[in-house]
Amino acid sequence: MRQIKANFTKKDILIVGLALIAVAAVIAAAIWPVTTRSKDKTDGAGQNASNSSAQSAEKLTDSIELPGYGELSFKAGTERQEVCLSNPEKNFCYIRASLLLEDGTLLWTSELIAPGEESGPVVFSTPLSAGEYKDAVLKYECFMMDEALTPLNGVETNLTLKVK
Amino acid sequence: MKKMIALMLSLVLVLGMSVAVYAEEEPTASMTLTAEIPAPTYTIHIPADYTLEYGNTELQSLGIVYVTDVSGLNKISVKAPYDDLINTADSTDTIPLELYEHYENYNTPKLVKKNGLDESNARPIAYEKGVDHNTFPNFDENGYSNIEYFAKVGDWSGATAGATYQATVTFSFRIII
Repeated sequence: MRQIKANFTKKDILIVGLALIAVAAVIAAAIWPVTTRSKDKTDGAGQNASNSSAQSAEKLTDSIELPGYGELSFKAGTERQEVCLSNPEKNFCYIRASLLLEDGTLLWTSELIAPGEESGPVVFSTPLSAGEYKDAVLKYECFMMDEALTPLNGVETNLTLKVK
Repeated sequence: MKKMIALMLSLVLVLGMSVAVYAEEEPTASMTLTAEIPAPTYTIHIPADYTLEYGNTELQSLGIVYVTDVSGLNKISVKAPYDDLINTADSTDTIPLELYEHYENYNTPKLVKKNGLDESNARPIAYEKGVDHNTFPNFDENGYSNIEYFAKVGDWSGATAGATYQATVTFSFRIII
């Protein structure tokens, strides 16, 4: 019967050890992103739950509160802007915001914004050149949160658009 | 020994390729969208809607219009353009409506024209910086004034039985520099 002898030198042991470490590192690199991603999803859900409870506090019942602006700043030469508008948490109704120039040109209309939520970024129908646009109009339409979206009283305000 | 090392290094190579393949199966793509909510310069408060008592020909309160938290502005006026009451099932069926505005402790309600201005074509002031509160008692010491609106239907005889009539007001706030 043939006997096989293995003579391990220190060098052999070192090479084997390094190889084992490399294997362990590769396995860890494969598993770690999965566990991290799962944890992130869980945290996000928890935060949404706490926001919902804040929204239900201190609701108005027969009046509406809306943010007014003396001026708003926008970027010239581009439709997409870095501004969004919000519906105060206290409200019990949807709002829809619109921006118009003094001559009535409709620049942007938001989707229906629920209380405590914000619109998507403002996207102009046409890019504006740099300058000040005085007597622009910010319009708010308000609607009951029912199937018919029953119209409520609304607001128009004048403001200056500062475009740079 | 050499065979064992070769085998282990081959295993490392295979696992390394599998990590790359795994990443391919779970692609990530992100696009950062930055949009800010600008801080308001003032806050607007309006009545949400109003229900009128059928047959009542007196002034009926719609609620109070006012502003708060004004920052960096001198004067804000209000007007309330409006239409007659409209039958929700038939837009040609209307009931004449009148709107009145009233400053607290200042004057009696004034008729508002359909374009929202009063009979002297003026607009009530909801805020005026530095206004003399003693001379104009409808303003508080911080320059704020409430405006109460009233509705009046002088003649209900034209109303259709069982119909629902509706009117909304779009309050117009104007910053005066």
